[in-house]
Amino acid sequence: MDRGEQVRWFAREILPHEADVRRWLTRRVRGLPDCHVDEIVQEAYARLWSAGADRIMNPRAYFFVTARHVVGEVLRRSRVVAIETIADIEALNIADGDIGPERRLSGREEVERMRHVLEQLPPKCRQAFELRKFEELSHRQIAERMQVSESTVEKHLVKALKFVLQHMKESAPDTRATVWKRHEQRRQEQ
Amino acid sequence: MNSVARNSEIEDTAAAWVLRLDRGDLSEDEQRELETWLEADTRHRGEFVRAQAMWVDLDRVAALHAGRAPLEPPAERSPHLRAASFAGAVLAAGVVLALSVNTYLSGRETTDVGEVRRITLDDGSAVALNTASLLQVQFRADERRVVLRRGEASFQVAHDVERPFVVQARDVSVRAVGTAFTVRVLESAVAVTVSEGVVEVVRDAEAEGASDKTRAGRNRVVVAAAEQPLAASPIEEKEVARRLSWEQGRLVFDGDRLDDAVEEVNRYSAVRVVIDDPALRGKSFVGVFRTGDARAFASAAAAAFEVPLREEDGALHLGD
Repeated sequence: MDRGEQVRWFAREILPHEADVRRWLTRRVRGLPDCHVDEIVQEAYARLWSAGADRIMNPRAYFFVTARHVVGEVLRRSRVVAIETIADIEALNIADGDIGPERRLSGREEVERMRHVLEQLPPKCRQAFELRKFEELSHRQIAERMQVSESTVEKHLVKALKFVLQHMKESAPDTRATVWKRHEQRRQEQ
Repeated sequence: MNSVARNSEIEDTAAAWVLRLDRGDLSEDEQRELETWLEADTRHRGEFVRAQAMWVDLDRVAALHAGRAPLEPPAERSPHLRAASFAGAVLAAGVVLALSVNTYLSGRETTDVGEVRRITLDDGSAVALNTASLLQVQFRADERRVVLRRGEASFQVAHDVERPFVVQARDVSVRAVGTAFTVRVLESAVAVTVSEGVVEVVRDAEAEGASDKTRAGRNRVVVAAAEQPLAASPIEEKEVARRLSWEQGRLVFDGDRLDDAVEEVNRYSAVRVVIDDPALRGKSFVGVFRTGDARAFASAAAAAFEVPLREEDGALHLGD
């Protein structure tokens, strides 16, 4: 699999699960020292990348398990956490509901959500993005069309990309709320 | 530096590199700089992969956003993964869905290898998009323009004298009012086959200012090859129908050279057919196959010419 193919594989098989992994992590590492969700997610992406897409049979489960490993390692390094906490994380089975059949948004919902996100972009930034992605113009062509420099076009596009990445972090709908409630109840009962 | 500040710095840098790459190839210095940055911290690589994946994914969202029906990109994966993964089955279902009729105003349509899709444009014109093709629809008040970036598409143009229908492929424009024709982008030429009505084929000449122009009616094919004047030649009706058989998901060979037939079959198939015996290339071949069924084609050819067929490295080899 070449680089471009692997990136497309990530877009298709990993990205859609990031919101769920983040949600799981947030509940798991809250209050633990040196555990920052962004860092763990980045670390997990790097490991998934070097594992190689064609070796990963179940991307969603692999993503979850990798994130859990990273948490375990961070905790062991930090040395200030009680041994029980580490054991707790290590022993933590990811509940079926977390990995299990994902609930992706339907295509239509996804469009609506993205439309909403893109509408919030500043006008110039949005224009550059639409010319790039809808019209498939090159950066140079966009620069000519908008009568700005190429580096300004690049800045607009960087901004658009960061905006959607940030959006994925912050406002992913909590489709798993009920599953979580059940899971937490089970934990408390034990 | 606290972790939050450091993280936003990583995100900024990763996004900047993704767009630098999106602009075009990196200079050697930039390439080195990127490598150094990626090597400095695994988190850099992680965020870079994440941002790149999102940028690529936005292509799909952009296509959806343009009003297209929900559609997953078809999977490109190794055979063992396809067998093992439920997601693969879902994606395969997406490919089947892609054959249904979509209506939309403007946007971008692509097909993958082996895929054929029918599209109805908002003026009522019908388009069939053949395998591995990319089409952009840019309708305006005074002109209905579509750009065929790669592959092949056939058009049934709805009649509208006020708004000519123009198909652009490289430097060639095909202008029609109410007509049926097919445009195919080949490696070194653009071919226009007319099955109904009349079209005007124009080649833009940037430098000379004198553009080349020709009109072609029913059962004519116009070939615009590089560095050569436009040439229109007659073609049998049967041949026109045969050339359009992919619209019905069929490939029809009627005395074609085997190497031409193989090339055609390979356009639609991830599994390639290879002729190992040079003596087979010029043999004439007859048969009807479903597009994408390279295996059926290869076994028929092996049987017809009494040569062995073996599968090796994911390709079907004909002859010793």
